[in-house]
Formats: sequence, structure tokens, C-alpha cells
Amino acid sequence: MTTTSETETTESDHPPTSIPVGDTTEECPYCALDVPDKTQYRLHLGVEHYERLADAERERFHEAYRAEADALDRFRIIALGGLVLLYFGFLLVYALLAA
Amino acid sequence: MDRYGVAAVQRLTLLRALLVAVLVVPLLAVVSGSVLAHASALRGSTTTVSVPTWLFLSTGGGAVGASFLLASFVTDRSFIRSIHDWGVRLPAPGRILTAGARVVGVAGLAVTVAVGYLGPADGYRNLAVLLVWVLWWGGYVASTYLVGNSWPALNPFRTLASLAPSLNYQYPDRLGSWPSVAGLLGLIWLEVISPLADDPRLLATTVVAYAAVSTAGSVVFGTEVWFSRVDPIATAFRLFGRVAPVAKTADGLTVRLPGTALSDADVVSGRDEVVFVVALLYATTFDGFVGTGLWRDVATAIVGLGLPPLVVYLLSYLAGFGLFLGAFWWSMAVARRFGRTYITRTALAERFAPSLLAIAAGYHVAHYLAFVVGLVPAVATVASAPLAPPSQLPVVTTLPGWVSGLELALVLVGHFVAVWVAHAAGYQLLPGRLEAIKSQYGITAVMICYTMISLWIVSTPSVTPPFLGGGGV
Repeated sequence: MTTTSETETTESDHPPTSIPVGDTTEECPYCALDVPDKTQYRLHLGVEHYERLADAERERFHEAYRAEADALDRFRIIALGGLVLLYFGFLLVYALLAA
Repeated sequence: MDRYGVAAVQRLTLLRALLVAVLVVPLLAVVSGSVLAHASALRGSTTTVSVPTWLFLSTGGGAVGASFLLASFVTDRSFIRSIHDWGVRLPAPGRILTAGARVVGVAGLAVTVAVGYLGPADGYRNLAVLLVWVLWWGGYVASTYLVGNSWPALNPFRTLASLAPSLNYQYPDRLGSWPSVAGLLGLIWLEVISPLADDPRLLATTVVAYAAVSTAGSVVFGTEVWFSRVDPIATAFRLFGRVAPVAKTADGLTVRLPGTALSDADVVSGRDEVVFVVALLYATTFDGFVGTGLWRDVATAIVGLGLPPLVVYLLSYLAGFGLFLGAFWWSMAVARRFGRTYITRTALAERFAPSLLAIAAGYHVAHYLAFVVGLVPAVATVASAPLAPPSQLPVVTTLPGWVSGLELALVLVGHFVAVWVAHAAGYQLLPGRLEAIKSQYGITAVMICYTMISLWIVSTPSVTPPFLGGGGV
């Protein structure tokens, strides 16, 4: 990460950001927040400025939101697997120690 | 929306919160049950099955990890917001109550100083030592995070300082809250290395010095500036008060769910206050760490090489703090990377650091609950005759086994609240729901490590810190 050569901006209506030099960013037209990619940009618009969006932009937000839901489902399956692994892992270890 | 509509939404929100509590708590209990079963072995009880230390520690870490995984299932922004925004208003406490609190505070200070100098010289027979370490640092501090921060009203240093005229010099802004960080680190250092907990004369002198410094500071910069930016005790209690359900606002009191105020944007501002929060968490850890056998062996070995003991203590103290800060700072880099955001590390830290306050509160309970309960009869006896207390004091030596179980449960509750607050912070800062979860990878890892370290300190047999000649609570 190029922390030493980053440019810092401070806006009153969003947290201060610092962008690594050379990164291409998407800037929010309403609050000037920079985000690193199109997906984050569309989600940001929908979450923070939904009332001000045109229909096409709203549709793009819903699309990104749905795509994110699929990714979340995949994450949840892994998280559930992790929980099961933790639970039965500990159960097994405690059972072995009690034996 | 009309007020009936608002009330209905609030009822619904409360219902949903209850539902989550009913569903999630047993799940967590399943994971943490084994820890609780072991808890009574903490105090050396021989009736419980002993579990190897590594398993005990990894179960604690596993419980924190599991709570992160469970929290990751909650991705509904409006639901998270509704939990954190829920609250009821109460009328502000009357002026008489506030004035009464001031009188109590100043009277407590006067008794501490007078009895500290005039009472018996041995620690636990002197009311000053009992007032400060048992009632105030053990009991009262717990009230700041369990009920609400009443210190601004009670604070005797502030009451005294406000009587003096003020020169109202401009406070140098570039100093920020750094003086309070230095003050906190200094106080903890003093508490660990000096017999402040055993020597009533030294304690009274320290209290007088503290009052003198805060009065002088208030005269120069004004009471408000001094107690909000420089005074470490007031800052610590203000932050602990954010864990509590009751808070004072401009037009009265608000009651919220415990810990939910930690996700507000104004809890911590600037790198200085982030460092202060980490120092607050570090305080209990270092205090406990110097009482472990490992530290005794390591310190004895290093001192054997020829370094003065105090230098060894100081270097380890600062190195440990550096390690804590480094770990937290690293976790914010992880949040920036996995959260896919350009928000600066400092700005992320401002929102994630408050979660650590819930953990600090949990460990404070674990540290002091049995201590306070055990010494309350002694406090009552000494208070009835402060200048000539009986030589044998009543002390509760055998507490029921569930007390240590309760202590451990509260440590875990502190962690669960912390995981949840970090979760809410991620959702408030980041537009992506998956990114909000992933942004917590680093801080969850740090919390797991911290749990294991702290559980090790709590469960390891405590020894007298070497080279200090006793002391330490």
C-alpha cells in the first residue's frame, strides 16, 4: 500500500478518505465520496442517496444489490460451515478429553 | 408518522430485538457453555473437571469467532439501525440531585484525604484505601458502564476546580486529547509500580496532588476544557458511560439498549482518543500480566542480566502498549482493504475503537466483582470507626462458585457486545453488505487474540509482582 504518497481529502458530509496514487476512482456526484469500483459506487448511491436517483440509476442499484445478495448467500454457507466446524470440533475435543 | 405509528414501530422493533436475543443467546451459550462449565475451576475449586489451558483459551477465542460468524447473518441495514436507534426519554435529574451528588463527591474526597493521613497506616484497615480502591475504582466505575456516567456531577476535582476563577487561556488545539492519554498511562504506571493500593499516606498525597493539578489546569484553561480534554479519569468515565444504557443529553436522559450508543459517530474523535481507548483496554491487561508467573520468570531473567527492575517494567509496559496499538492499527488496514473503501484508517478507527470499550468493561467486572463483594463488610466496619478500626476485619473469603461463573459470563458478554458494535460500525460506514462483514476480519482476529491473552491472565495463578515490594490491586 502506498500510504506515504496518498492524497487526503476531507469533506464535511462523509468520513475523510485517502486514495492511493494511481487508483482510478468513482466519485459520488452528491457527496463527493470516492469509492474504488462501480459496484461500491452503485451501492453507495442506492444506500445513501436513493431519493435523488433517476429510475435507471435505481435499477442499476437494485441489480448490484441482487448480485450482492448472491455473494452474501455464498458467504453465509461458508459461515454456517465455520460454525458447524467450530461446534463439532470443540465437541469432539471435549469428548476425547472426557473419555 | 403520527406518534401512535412511531410507538407501534418501536414495539415491533423491541419485539424483533427480543426475538433475536431469544434465538441468538442459546446458540452462543452452546458454544460458550463449555467455558462456563469450567469457570468455577478459576478460583482453584477442586470440584470441577479440569480442562487443559490451551483448550480453555481456544474455547474462549472460539466463542468470539462464533459470535462474529453469527453476527454476519444479520445483514438488514434498517434492522441494525433500529436496534441502535431505539431509546426512551426520561426527565433530567433535578438540580437538588445534582447538587447532592456534588456534596457527596467532595465529602468523599475530604474523607479520603483526612483518613488517609490520620487513619491507621496499614492498607486494608484504612478507610481511604477502601474508599478509593473498593468503592470507587471497583464499585463506582462499574456503575459508569452498567448504569450511566454520573461522574460529571459527582467529580469532586471538578467541583473544587469550578470554585476557582479561570484565566481562560486558549488551549493549544494541536495537543488534542494527547495529555489525557499520557495522564492515563501515567496513572496506570503509578498504580502498578508504587504501593498506592497499600499505603494510605501515599494515596492521600496522590489524591491531593491530582486535585492541585486539575485545579491549576482549570484555572489556566477553564474547567470545561480541562475535564473534557486533559483529565484522564473524566475521559475514561465519559467513554465507559457510552457502554451504559442511560445517557445525559441536552434535554434530559435517554435510555438505550446497553452498548448500542457505542456505534454513534461522536463517541471517539481523532487519533488521540482512539489511542486513549486502546490504553483503557491495555490498563487491566498490564495490571494482571505483572501478577503472572510468566512475567515473574521473564522479569527475573532480564533483571539478572543487569538492567534495573524499574527500567524493565517501563520498557515492557511501553512495548506491550505498542503491541496493542500496532495490532489495532493493523486491523484497520485490513478493514480498509477488505471493506473496499478509501476511508482513512483514522476515520475507520474512530468508529471501530468504541467496540473495545465493551470488552474493557467486561474485564473490569471480571477483575473487581469478587474483590468488591468480598470487601464490602470490611468497608462497612471500617467506615463506622475510620480512625480506630478493629484489627480483625470481616472479609468474605469463600464466595459461591457461580460468582466466578458470572465474572466469566460478563467477560464474554462484553465480547459479544463488542463484536456486534463492530458489525454495526461496518454497516454504517460501508455501502456493501458483504464488504461491511469482511471489514471486521482484522478486528475480530485482534479480539480473539485479546480474549485468549486475557483469559490466560485471569485463569493463571496470580503471584506477587517481582521487585515491587508488594502493592497492586
